Amino acid sequence: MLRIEGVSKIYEDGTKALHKVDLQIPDGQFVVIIGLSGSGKSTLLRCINGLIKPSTGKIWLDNDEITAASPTQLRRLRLKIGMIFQQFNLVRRSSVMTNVLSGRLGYRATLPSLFHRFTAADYQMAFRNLERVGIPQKAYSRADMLSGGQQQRVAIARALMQEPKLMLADEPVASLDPATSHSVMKYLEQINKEDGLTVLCNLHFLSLARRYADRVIALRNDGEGGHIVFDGPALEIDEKKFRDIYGEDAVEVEIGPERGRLEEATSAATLTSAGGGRF
Amino acid sequence: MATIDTPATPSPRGKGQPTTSAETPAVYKQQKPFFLRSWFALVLTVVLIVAHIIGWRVSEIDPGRLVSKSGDIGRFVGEVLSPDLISTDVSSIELQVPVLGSDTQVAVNPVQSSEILIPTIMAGQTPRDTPPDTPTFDAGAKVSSDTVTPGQEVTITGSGWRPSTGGQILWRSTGQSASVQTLGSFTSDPQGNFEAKVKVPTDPERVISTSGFANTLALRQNWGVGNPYPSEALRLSWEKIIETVFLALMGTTMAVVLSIPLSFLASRNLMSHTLLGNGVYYVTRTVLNVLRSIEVVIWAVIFAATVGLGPFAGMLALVVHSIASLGKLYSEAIESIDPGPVEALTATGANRLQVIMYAVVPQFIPQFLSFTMYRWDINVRMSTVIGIVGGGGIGFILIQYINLLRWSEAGTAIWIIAIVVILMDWVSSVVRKAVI
Repeated sequence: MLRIEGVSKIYEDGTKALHKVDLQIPDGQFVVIIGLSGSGKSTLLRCINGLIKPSTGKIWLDNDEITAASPTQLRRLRLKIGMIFQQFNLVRRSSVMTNVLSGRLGYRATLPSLFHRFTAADYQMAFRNLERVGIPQKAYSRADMLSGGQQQRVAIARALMQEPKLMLADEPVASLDPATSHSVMKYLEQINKEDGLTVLCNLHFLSLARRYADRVIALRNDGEGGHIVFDGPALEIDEKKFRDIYGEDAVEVEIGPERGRLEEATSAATLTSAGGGRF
Repeated sequence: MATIDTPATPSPRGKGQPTTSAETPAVYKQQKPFFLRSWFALVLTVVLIVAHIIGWRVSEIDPGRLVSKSGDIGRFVGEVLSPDLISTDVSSIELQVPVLGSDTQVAVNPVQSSEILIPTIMAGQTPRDTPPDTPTFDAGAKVSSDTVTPGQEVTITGSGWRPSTGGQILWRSTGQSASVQTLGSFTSDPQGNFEAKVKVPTDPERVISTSGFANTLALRQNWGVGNPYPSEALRLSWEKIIETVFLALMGTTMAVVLSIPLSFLASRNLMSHTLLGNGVYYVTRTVLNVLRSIEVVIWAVIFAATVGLGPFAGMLALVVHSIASLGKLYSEAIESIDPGPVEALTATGANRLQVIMYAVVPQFIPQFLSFTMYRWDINVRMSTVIGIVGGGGIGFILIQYINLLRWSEAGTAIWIIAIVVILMDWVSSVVRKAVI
């Protein structure tokens, strides 16, 4: 159970990113957070694993308060929280294997890990996770030799090395073409359904949210900071709610493997800029 | 009506022409020269002109000297371009014939001299033992006149010399200005005979002997013996360039080892998370900036004065200067890395050192190698300079040759430096391509 209570965030430069967000996410849910760019989606995710400290408010993962943890405690808590990113954030010059193993660093003592010493069990686990995301044959390629979709799958394998119970995904498919987007989303669905991981995923496309989410949370930033304007099953989002979330001028675009084409990705970008968001 | 209108039409055009030419300056206005556009520009121009006039005087610029000294410059360049690379041992024999000097023409008789000559062997400036089986020469020479006036021509005939070998005719005067002067040369025929005509010096001081001692006409033959071998200058330059390269290597390596930790401390993206980190960042940056602003030659002088002349002082100078520059280059490379992987690994629960090792170091390596090689290049060139101020290496002998005006030896050192530096450039570019 993840509990977020009254979380607000104002950055040092005065940008108001979040405003009094309250949220409870039970274990095993696939939650998609939607909203325009600047609505505070990324900030919310980074508050959950302590990459960003909220200005006010509290966040609990089960019985541990993340917002009150010391640096050492925070590192312990982060082991339970995997994260993947829009830009994949792999070390491009390192091998796929090294990238995946680096997800295990939090479990290993500093000194041996500095000399790339991992246990045989770690290597087996890394291979298993690469098999799960379908690219064991790429284990000893350099990360930058892989396609975007493959890199994101390596990033998922890296996060799985933490044996997390919660997976944060910050716009994991925004840099990918529509067909690849679905394959990456399917891996997230798989770890949610098979391993029972809670998944918290930021998305631009409502169509993807409809397809994968148990629950959709919409954030909107009217200048005071992002706050929740919708919380419920994706099916409940009708024309009116959609305009509430994305602004009056927005038109919904579809994304799907059969219809997925580059120009739709382009119109999705238009959708974001047409909205009445802060940017 | 139309016929009246028609001639009227050109008239506005005719009128219009002066109008447009009057308007032209407004549109195609001629730009004023820079120094007339504003008062500031005018003052700036005047100041610059005055500064250059003063500068011309202060730096004692004298193009005339380049022309009047062009002979000297040409000789130096010529000697530097023909460096002293190869030597052979030189074997020589010399026979002396006494000749008196006189200011008036007097009756003369021919004078003759002969001697059994044993060749002397010289290696550069050092004499060598003559092997016992060396052939000797029963050489003789006849000079047409036993008393000469300044500028008089004499005929010299010789026999019993080393066959088919060149030789010099020297004038050793015993007058007020005792000196040696080359008068001419000869080449013996296959039988060892020769005949040569030379003029004695025209300067009476070199010919007329006040002390009563005779001048000497010296006949000398030189020929190379044994195999050619590398000259002393080449051998010494080679020895010292190796010292120089190793000096640069040690200086670079130690600087790299010391500047890696410093560069992490001087990287804003790694240090700006805490107040203490920020403090360390600014202190490190400031220290690096101060160290860098002092030139390597000055460091070499300082260390030569403290730890003594020699390569160790030079190495220390290179270390200090390289730390300053590598620390800055490295830290800027670290600051320019992609922050994404750092964020990703922080999110996995890895600690600070692990994040640096797995997310920062791999991204930093290409630039690290590139900067390090570049620095070694620079250090090889630098170490030739620090030798001049007592930091060891080839610069040390180069400055000695220059001070002794031994230009062809200096040329040897200069050529060796050029070749080694070009070679190192090439090697490092090959290695860089292969590694990165």
